Amino acid sequence: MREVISVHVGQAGVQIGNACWELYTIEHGLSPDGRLMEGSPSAGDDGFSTFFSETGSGKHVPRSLYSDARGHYTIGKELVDTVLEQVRRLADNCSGLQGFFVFHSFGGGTGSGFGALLMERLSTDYGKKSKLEFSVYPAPKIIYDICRRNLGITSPSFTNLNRLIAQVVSSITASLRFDGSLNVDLNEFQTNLVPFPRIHFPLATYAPVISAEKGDVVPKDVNAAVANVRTKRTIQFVDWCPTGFKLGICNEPPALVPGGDLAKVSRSLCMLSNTTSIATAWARLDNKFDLLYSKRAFVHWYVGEGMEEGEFSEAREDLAALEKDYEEVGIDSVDAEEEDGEY
Amino acid sequence: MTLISVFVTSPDTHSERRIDSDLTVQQLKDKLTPITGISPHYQSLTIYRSTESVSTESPLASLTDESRSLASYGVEEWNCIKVENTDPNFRPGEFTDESNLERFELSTAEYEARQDTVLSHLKANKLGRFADVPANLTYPPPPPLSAPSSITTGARCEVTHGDDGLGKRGTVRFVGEAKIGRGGVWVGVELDEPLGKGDGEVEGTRYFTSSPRHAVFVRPEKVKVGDYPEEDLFADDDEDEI
Repeated sequence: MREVISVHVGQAGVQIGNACWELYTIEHGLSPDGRLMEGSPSAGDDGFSTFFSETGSGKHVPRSLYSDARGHYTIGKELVDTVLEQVRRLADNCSGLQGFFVFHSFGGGTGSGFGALLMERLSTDYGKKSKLEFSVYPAPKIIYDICRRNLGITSPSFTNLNRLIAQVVSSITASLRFDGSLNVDLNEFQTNLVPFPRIHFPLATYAPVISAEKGDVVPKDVNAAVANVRTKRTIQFVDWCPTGFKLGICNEPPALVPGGDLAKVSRSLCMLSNTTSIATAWARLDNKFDLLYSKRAFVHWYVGEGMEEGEFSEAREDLAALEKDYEEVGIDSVDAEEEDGEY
Repeated sequence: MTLISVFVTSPDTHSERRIDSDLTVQQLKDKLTPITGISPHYQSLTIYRSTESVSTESPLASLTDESRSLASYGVEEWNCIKVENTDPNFRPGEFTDESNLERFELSTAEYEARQDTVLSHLKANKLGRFADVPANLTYPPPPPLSAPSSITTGARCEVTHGDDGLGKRGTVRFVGEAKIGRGGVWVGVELDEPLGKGDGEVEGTRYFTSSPRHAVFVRPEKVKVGDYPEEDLFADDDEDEI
């Protein structure tokens, strides 16, 4: 079995977790008390046990952990061992743990501060296991705009946002949870998407698919579509690492969260892409930091929690280097054309 | 304890929060300090029915008595708490106005000195722009000074691209000497698909106008003029394996 443990950190991580697990249980046809219901698509398929453990009495329990502990220092530092013990309990219950999903925001003190601490400690304790973070950034603003403009929700709340996020997360995890014609393993995200350790921030894109065509999506068609995209050259790939496409096809149609804002469709598409366009998010974040830090705004709150001023400048330098890393990725390689190439 | 979701709006922030409606106004102000950046004694709070009504309706109440609870003021789910800053030294936009921003920049030398960067990785492994370039390419030929007479503005053409032999079709919009790269003669093509580099302007000079990414400037030898009708994007049934 290739189990995955989900860790939900802070208010945002917990609320997104609620929306995700609600959706998972619907997709797998699980009753509120964790039993497989009649007609469950997972009845003859144990794929969902990557995400659920089965008790002796036949109930299915999420392999998940919810934690809320303030900050990277003080309280967070005291509680991280307790959280890790609980993670260990879940891990000990797995026969072939694939890795972790960690859900958190970047906004408050828990998601960012405690989230970072937990990630560090998970790396120490489970070095070789994959960790996939679901981070809500840059601010829910963008998702708000999607809700307003595309889904017709006039005043979106976190509930709307979290359901939308859950739908995306469900798509990403679908091929880990269901048997499909093309399945994706958690470590394949890393192998295929991270060409260099620091460039590890894939963007998620989600699209419901409405098609006049009938019939299942087969690998051959998807491969042909990808080959077509490559020849069109509308996307530029770096030439210093393999620019692979890893495809997963899940035969189970997307389920809907009750009270959600999306229409029922029979197919959806989810893409994780490692693109230089995320660099604008770093630029925006750095601008914001410089604006606040030049006035020492909010700094005393962090210092009061045990952070040192040197850590701010160290982190800022690292982010400046990350911006330059992305610039470097974007630079075209020298080739025969470059000198007299295209403008 | 009764948790409710409300919005908090202040001169520099706007966010959704879950708060306990049994909190006193004083306790709320303490909680709002790290959220809004305003000290409790400079906070002036009013409640509105919703975020939208802040600009369109009058407030439901002003939270002036700091010992009273939010519930006693009738604060409900999805109300909006407006926080004003009464600090006489407060300048609106202090945390949002980026016009005088002094941005921290890492110098090129500092970046090059770092060990864990993409740059150091590419250099160390001779990848990307640090890959070995064949010696015969280090002395490029002089730029062309004329173009074949067949290349005229308005002509349909195909622009060859690199070693893969893939052509990009379009219409010639400019032929002649241009201050692009090393100078000499260039051909400006408006492509059918957005596979170009710009919109007809290069290095501050406009040669023609196209939609973004539809314009490309190349040397004349890369342009084949002829009968190249626009391709139907979806006509080819390419089934190559990847």
